[in-house]
Amino acid sequence: MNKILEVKNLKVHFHLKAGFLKPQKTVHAVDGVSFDVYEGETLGIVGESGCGKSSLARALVGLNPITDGNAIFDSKIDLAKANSKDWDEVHKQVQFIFQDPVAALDPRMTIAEIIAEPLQTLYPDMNKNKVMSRVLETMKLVGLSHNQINRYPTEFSGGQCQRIGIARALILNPKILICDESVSALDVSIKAQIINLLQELQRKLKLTILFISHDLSVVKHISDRILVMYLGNIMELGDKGVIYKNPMHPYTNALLSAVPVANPELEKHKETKLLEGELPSPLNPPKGCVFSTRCTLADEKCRTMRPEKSVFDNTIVCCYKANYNITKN
Amino acid sequence: MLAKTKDLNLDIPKAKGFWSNVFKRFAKNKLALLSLSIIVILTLMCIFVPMLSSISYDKTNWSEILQTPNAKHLFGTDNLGRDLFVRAFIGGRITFAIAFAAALVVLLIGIFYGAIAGYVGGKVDTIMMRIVDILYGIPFLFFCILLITLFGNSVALSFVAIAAISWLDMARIVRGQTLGIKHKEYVEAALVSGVSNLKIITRHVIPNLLGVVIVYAALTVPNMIVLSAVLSFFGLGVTEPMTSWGLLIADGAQNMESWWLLLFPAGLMTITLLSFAFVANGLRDALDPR
Repeated sequence: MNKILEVKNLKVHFHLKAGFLKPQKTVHAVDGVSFDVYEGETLGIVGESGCGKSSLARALVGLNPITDGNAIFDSKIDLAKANSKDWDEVHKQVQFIFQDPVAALDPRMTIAEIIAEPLQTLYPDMNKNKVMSRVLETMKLVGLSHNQINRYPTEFSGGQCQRIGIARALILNPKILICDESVSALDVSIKAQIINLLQELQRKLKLTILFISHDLSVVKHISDRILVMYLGNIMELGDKGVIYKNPMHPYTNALLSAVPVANPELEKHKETKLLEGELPSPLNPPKGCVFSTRCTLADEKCRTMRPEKSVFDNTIVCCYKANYNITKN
Repeated sequence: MLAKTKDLNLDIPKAKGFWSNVFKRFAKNKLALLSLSIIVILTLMCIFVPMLSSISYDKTNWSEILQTPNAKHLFGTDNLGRDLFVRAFIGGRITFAIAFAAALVVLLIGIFYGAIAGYVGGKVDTIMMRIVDILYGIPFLFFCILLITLFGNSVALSFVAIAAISWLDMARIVRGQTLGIKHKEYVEAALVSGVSNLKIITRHVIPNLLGVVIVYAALTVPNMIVLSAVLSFFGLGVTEPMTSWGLLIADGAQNMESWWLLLFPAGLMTITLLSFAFVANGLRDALDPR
């Protein structure tokens, strides 16, 4: 499979304003992350709140500046060094779907204007009628009826608004779709509809999807591979089946054990390994392994040296204590 | 601009726009609607009464000094025998002209200044807003007297003076609104679609703060009327025989035994100010339905 996005040691840092007698502080939102995204796959990115998954996603579309490292799109454009012309090219190929479907639509614009905006901006010479027929085509694709075209976003429900958001992203025929918590704000039945729609669109349009969520069951359903993040670092990256069945990293293990089971009998007897303590501040991340402050297995080495990533049977793990002796079946 | 849907042979109902809904809600507020019609009628009268009246506003008549209101002179006459009805409306014309023109300038400068400062942020914002703070520090009357000593007394000058200090509030309000809007997801969605910053300001930021701005503008107009009245009360700006409401009120206040000289201009001004307040109130409710 082709690599469509190659992220190498990417860092997104935010500098807090220094005050009087107050040294400047840096938030290490994403602190050296490397992974590849292959054409046509769905990569799920999971982690608890504040682990940097949104910062990472936003950096990939230019909403956050990249502090260091590279993100090479389609082996052509390095997003860390892209000029505005490069970004235009990237925006044609990489689109973003937001968390709050209603807030992502300008309340003073009609649905047609909202969906047409990316096309009119990035292809300014396109004929008006062509734009309009593309709008109608895309609306049909995401399951919106064409007589809703002149309505305003306030007249739609959350699920419909998310369809409009998806239509706006898809009108450019992008290769990559980044969904940042795109179904978190929807109720369960609508969530299922939108996920099914995304999967159907992925099949039809051969999309690559970066699916960011803290909802592990949703990620399990939609993803081919899973990337587990903690405090701006990658903990584990591997195929869905492997990660969910045999998590090697103690953090992944703890994360998965916290997922509720639909069967109340099983849920009652389930062993939950709850994590102790709080997420450390990204202003001052631990010196060694970022997870060492909460890890039950951590020893002196973990606290002083950051683990390098090790590859074990297609799975990348960053841990000294990784549970390698799993029996595969 | 998008192609019209009818060009594509589609029969799609035209949507009710945001503003038509606003108007519908506004029309439900009877007091606001009445106030709006009062403002429109007064404006029309200010334009047409001096034009159509047989008596000129500066025609003195020694045989008709200080007459109480009667059939020939609806508002009576002043101590030079001039018809107060015509004078009240020519004065209103000046007052309205200054207020509307100043409000327009305030809207234009205030919106763009505030939107740019708020959207760009950082050092640009700091510098732009400190300039506003400095201008805030200049006392209004002192500023007017300074302008008049430098450039001589004229109506245009009092308009400039009023506009120059009034856009500061508008700029602050718009900046505050912009700070809220610029982090909305629809602005970020536009950024991901490659929309330039200037287009984002004109297409997404300004239309979304217009609601607040319109309410504030409706509240600004009466402020301008009061300011221009204050100026002419002190004899700045408009000079005899031309008049304005401030000047008429000043005259009336000096001849209190002729009650009509104070009552009519002051009454007209009060009605106008109240009407603007009710319209602003109605607009706020119509723009922000909750």
